[in-house]
Amino acid sequence: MNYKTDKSLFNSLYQQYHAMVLQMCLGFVKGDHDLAKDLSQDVFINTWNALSKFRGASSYKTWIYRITVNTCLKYIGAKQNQKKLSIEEVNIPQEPESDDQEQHDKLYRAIGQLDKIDRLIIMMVLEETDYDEIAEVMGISATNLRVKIHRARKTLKKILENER
Amino acid sequence: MKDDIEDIKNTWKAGKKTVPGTDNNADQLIALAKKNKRNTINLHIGTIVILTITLIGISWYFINVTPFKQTLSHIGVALMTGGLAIRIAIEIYSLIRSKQLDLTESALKSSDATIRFYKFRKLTHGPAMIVILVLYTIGFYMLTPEFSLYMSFNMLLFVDLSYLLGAVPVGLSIRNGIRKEMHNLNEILRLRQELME
Repeated sequence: MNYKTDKSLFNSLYQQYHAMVLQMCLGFVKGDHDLAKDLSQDVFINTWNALSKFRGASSYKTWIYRITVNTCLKYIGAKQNQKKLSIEEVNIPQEPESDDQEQHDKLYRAIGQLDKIDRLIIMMVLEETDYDEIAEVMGISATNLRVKIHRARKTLKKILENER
Repeated sequence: MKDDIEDIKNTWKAGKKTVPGTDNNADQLIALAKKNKRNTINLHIGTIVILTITLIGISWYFINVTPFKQTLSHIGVALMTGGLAIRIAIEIYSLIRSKQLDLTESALKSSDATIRFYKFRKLTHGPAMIVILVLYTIGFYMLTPEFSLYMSFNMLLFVDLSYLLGAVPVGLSIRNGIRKEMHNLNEILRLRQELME
């Protein structure tokens, strides 16, 4: 592929998957919008850098999922240390939020309380991704995945109930 | 449980509609990606260039300015230049290995590769760096007997103590490097464990 084709492909991937990636990042960083923006930017920078490696063995969506998951899991260095997050301190709204927005942020904060791997898996479940595809993205067996999904759903439900 | 997850899914879907747009467009991101890549490469290459210049400078100095005659000094020079050469080789190998990390693999494969990389870094920033620094230091002090033939005692003392003062920040930087690599390695090992549980 030449530069022009790469650029146009990247543009279309960006338009198509930006919301999906940013929302996953929001859930991963407990609803912190600034961190999520940084993280999603890293995801797309990594996507651009890896574009020449795409061989068409999976769909673009699965491929972007893999980059998103790996970028989130690698997000353990300086950036994370700069800003230690706790559920109390993140995303305190500066202005009154709408009820809907508050609901969404509550969900991101709740997801953010799960273990890191469970966060990513449950968000792909919420995206209605096939279990086979999630197992492929994570590199784990279908049985292991089902156990994790069951456990994450239960924990998420409990967290949301406690927040009511 | 099924209804609960359906409710959560609906909130998630509705949330997607309110996800803010981004300040960056694709073109800006491509420019940023290129800039980041360039900066990372420049950082690695910069270290390699500085070390190579130091190696060339030291070698030139030992060959042209102070051509040592004693065997002890020759061994000292070999330890110092050899240590630097090994350090340069490690930097180059590290640069090559860092480029092999693939974020398009599955999370398990990618974390395994990252673990291998951090274990390598732990080794190179820890024991390997300490051995190189110790060899370099021994090499440096092996030059002292021959230096003493051409320098006053006070000058020699000044040179030897200056070296020690210079070695302290290097030692501290090695310690910080090891801590950082250990933190990253432990975190990724913990994530891998989480993945397999």
